[in-house]
Amino acid sequence: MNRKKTIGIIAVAAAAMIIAVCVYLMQLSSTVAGNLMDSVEEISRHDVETIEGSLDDSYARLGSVADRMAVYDVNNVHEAQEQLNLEAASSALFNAIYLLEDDGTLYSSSYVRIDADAHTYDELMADGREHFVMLYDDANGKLETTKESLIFGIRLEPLVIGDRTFVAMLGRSDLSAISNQLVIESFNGEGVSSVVNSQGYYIVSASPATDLDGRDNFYDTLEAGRIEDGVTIQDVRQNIADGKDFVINCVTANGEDLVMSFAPVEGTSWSFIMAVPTEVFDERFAPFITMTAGMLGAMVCVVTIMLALIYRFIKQSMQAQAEAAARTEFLSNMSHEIRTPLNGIIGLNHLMERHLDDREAMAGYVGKLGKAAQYLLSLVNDILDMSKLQAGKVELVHEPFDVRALIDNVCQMQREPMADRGILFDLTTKGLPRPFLVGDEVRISQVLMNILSNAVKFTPPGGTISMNVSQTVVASGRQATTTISIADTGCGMTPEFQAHIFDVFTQERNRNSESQKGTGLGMSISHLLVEQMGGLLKVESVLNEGSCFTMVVTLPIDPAHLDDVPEEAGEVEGLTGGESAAALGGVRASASEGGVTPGGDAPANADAVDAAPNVSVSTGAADTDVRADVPVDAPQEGPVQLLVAEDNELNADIISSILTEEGYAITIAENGEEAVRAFEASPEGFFAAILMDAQMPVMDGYEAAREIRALKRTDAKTVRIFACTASTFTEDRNRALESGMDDFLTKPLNVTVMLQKLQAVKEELS
Amino acid sequence: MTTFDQMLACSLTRRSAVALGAAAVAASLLPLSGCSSSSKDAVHLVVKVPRTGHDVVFDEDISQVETVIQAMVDDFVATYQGAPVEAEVVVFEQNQYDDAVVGSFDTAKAPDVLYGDYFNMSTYIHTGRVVPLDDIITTAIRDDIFDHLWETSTIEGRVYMMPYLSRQNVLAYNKQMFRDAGLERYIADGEITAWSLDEWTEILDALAASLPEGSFPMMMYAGSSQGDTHIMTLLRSAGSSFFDEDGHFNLSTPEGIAALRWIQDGVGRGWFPPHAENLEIEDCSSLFKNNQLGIYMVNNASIGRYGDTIGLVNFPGPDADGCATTFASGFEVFDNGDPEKMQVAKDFISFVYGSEKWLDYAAGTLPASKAVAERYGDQILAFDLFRENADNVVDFTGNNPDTRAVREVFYPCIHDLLMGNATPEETAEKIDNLCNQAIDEGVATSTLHE
Repeated sequence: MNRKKTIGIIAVAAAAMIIAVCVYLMQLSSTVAGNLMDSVEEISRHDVETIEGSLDDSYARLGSVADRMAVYDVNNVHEAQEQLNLEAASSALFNAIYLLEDDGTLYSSSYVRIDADAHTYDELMADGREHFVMLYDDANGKLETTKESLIFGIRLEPLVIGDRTFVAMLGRSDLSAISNQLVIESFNGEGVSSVVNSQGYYIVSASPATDLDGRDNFYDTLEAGRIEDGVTIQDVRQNIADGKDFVINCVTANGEDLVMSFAPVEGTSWSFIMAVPTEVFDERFAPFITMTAGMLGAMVCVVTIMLALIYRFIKQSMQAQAEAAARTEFLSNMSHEIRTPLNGIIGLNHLMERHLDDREAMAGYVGKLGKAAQYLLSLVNDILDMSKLQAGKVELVHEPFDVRALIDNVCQMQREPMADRGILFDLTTKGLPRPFLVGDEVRISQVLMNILSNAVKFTPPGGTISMNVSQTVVASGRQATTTISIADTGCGMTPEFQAHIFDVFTQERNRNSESQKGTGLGMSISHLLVEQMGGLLKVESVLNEGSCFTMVVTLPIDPAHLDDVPEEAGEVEGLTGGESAAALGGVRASASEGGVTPGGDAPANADAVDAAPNVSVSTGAADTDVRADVPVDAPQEGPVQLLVAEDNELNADIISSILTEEGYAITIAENGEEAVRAFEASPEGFFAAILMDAQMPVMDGYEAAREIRALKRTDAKTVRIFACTASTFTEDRNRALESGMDDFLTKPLNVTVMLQKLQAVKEELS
Repeated sequence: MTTFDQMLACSLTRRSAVALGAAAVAASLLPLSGCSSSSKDAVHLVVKVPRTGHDVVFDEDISQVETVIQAMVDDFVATYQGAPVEAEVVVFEQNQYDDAVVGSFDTAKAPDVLYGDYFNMSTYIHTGRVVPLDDIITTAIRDDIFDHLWETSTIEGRVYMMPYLSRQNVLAYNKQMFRDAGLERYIADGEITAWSLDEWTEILDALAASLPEGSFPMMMYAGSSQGDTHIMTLLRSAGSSFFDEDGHFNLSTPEGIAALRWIQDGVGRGWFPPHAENLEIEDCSSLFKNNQLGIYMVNNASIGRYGDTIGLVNFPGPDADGCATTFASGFEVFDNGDPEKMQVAKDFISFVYGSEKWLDYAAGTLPASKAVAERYGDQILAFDLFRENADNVVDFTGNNPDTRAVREVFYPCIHDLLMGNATPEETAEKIDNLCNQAIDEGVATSTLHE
């Protein structure tokens, strides 16, 4: 998954989460606000009921006074007033009590007589109502007080005292005396209730005025601020006058946001108001926000941790699988590499047993036996080196040496392989002012040899290998940094492989390389050695174009040569290109002459191959006569023809020798591709069987078997193909059978078994 | 949920979201706004005044004293040469002195300046918060204020209140009732007359005998503490000094007991409305205005509403001239722990007393300033009458440190006396004990500002 796609998925997931959170918060806010509004309305209902109950109680108390007045022994209005005085004095509610005569005259408990034309209180019951309550306003007639008061009134059954008839009784209460009972705080004191009359004057207020002159008006308060959502003061007035339940959102003159809930008080023109600061809603909502944020944060943390753990587990699992695969591959390689020389040794042993008396043949077999043993030794040395390096037990020596001689030696050692493969070699020394250094010459040689031999191994014939050597003296003058680059025009490496080239057990299978021999330890050993020297080994490579390995090491200058005059910069030290060509046995010269492979006497170009009456599939050394041309005609009477695909020259020779002695005719192919070409070029039924090595360069045995089986010729499906491999694991056997091979011959070859199986083939043919 | 509720919910959500976003912006701007605020260095002055009626002879638009105070403050803020001042005038109700003053101590609403009546304000001097003003009283100011007002403003030799105006209380009688009762001879136009106690008794008896049912000779009330100073003044009727030399109540004397007995006898003789112990001063005011009461108290500011229907007479007193009471009003300055604010508050007082214009606004009643009296005396109703009567003024506070506590225990004693539940002797003893206890407790807790 690429980076952009990953970022896109994360962004979409984050956006989805944010939208989900927003929707959740909106719903939460709506629910909380709804619940709070329900609370406000419930408190309002409760308060209104309290007020209505209080009013009913007041009417009842006034009615009780009236009842008692009817039974008191009073003969005239003055005695009645005295009785009212006592009633008022004993009342916790009324400051004054009044009797309203049928002619409109009002008589108070404080003996004041108010003529009908001086007040209008009688008009308040003109509509037939049985009782009323009003906020005292001297517009209805001045009473004995200037204090904010409530006037209660009840209709009387005509009460006759002396020669006067009274039709109503009024009670006056100081508003401050009762409003405190009606002020109900809510929301921890932040919500305040009040009651206003239709004119907007407060009946109940949190900070009531005590004097008519000082009373506040609710509408003035609203006007000083503002009402939101398009509601006007006139709307509020009308709603209160109509006795409606409603809610407004307003801002006071002090800038306080309030939610006001209105509810009518039954039997009055009053409206109960519950004012709650908006911030109360926000405060109630805040814990939910905090809890939600905390919960989401915790969830994100948990999910992140879980994902991290899963990712880590998967990564570890993949790494373990990769390591296991690498080990399996390493073991497979090691098995192959060890069994290959062992195979040769066993084969040679078989041949030597049969030719004990043939001294010349024995000499050749013994020589080949020595090579196989030498390879086994180098393999074991590599493994031991690797183990020591990993355990930190390799101790480098610090002895004077000559870099020029070291390079010369390394190049000399690869002279023959390069000449054999027709590879051009170019050595350039850009400046080597301090050739005498102190260090581990052997190990440095080992690293360079490994790199150079790899270059030779992976560079195709006609390719080029360039070695560049340069050096700079560090500021102290006592050390020199030597840089040696070895570039080839080989198969190159994939970027993925480059990243792991110095890892242990790593060896890229490259079908384009001519060889994949080796344990895969060489580069690891080289890297660890250079690292231990305090140097740097790096690689740059382009697939199918080539690789360049660079070793940089800083080593002390040999004290014995500190006083030497440094060579001039740019001066070629050691082997020059021309000299190197000569020193290397004319590698460059022979290459520059073109087309002539050093030491090769077989036709090397395709035209020559095509022109030959028989297809030559041998491109390697032609020191064996078993590499025969394949006839293009139909099978003829004669020895049974076998195709042996084997990249190891020694093994190929040995198998060829054994089978030739048994009467078989052998055609050798160095890799799978050559084997396919050889089979394809042969007449149908020419080859009785194919001995196919599994691990080969260019094309392995499995692929070659599949291609042969896929050929459109009658014997493609019937030719017996034996997998010959040092890999003995079950999966390798299965893999061979799945690729179309018929049987399996393990390396080292059991000659008897091999001959028995081939004999069976021969008998089938006959 | 109603549409409004939904709207509210959405609004809250929007607010929450906006608040979250705005919080970061606000947080980043906060330091800037803090630095750029010009009002941060302004001195915030809180001036408190109780809602009080007030007339000014040359300005008919004035009906409340808080209007005058607000104008003074505005003028001061506009012209003050010192530090920038933001002033707030807080108006409160007459019965909320303690809430407005003591209740707001150590808050942002604590008063720096208080305008009010001395008998309410004097208590706060003993909290230790009211600062002496001697340092701003120049010779000119001292000479300009009437001496008797300095006396009521001074405690232990230091001036704690700046008098602005005063009102003198005397009694008023309904001339028509007097005529109806055959008491024409006691009607004295154009003067504040005085009657001996015997004459008072004769007049009240005559009124009681002649007035129709529903009308009464004289005010009397004990339903609350309101107006109790007038009842206290009546207790001097038999020659009692009321207070002893230490400012303690001293009614358990023959003169004091005689005055109490005179009142208690009056109940039986029909001088007062029945069950007057349940009445309040406002009841008596209504009766007097309604021509149902013969004698009631007035002051120089309120006589205008009665015209020529009433005559003026001093309370019965220890001598033939009788006595009157006076109520001073003025300013106090509080120390709330901020020397700069306190200085600005004092500067405000100096500004008022250095301003002829603002001193003139006392010209509606009796100005504290002699110069204002000189300028507007001829326009102030009955100014000369009350000025001449100043010699008969008696102190009804005794400079006691907790006037309101005394008032709370005084009126129940009179209530019992009127009901006949206590003898004059018992009442005198009870008044002395309870009121002096309140005074002593006030003294014990008194702390004067150093």
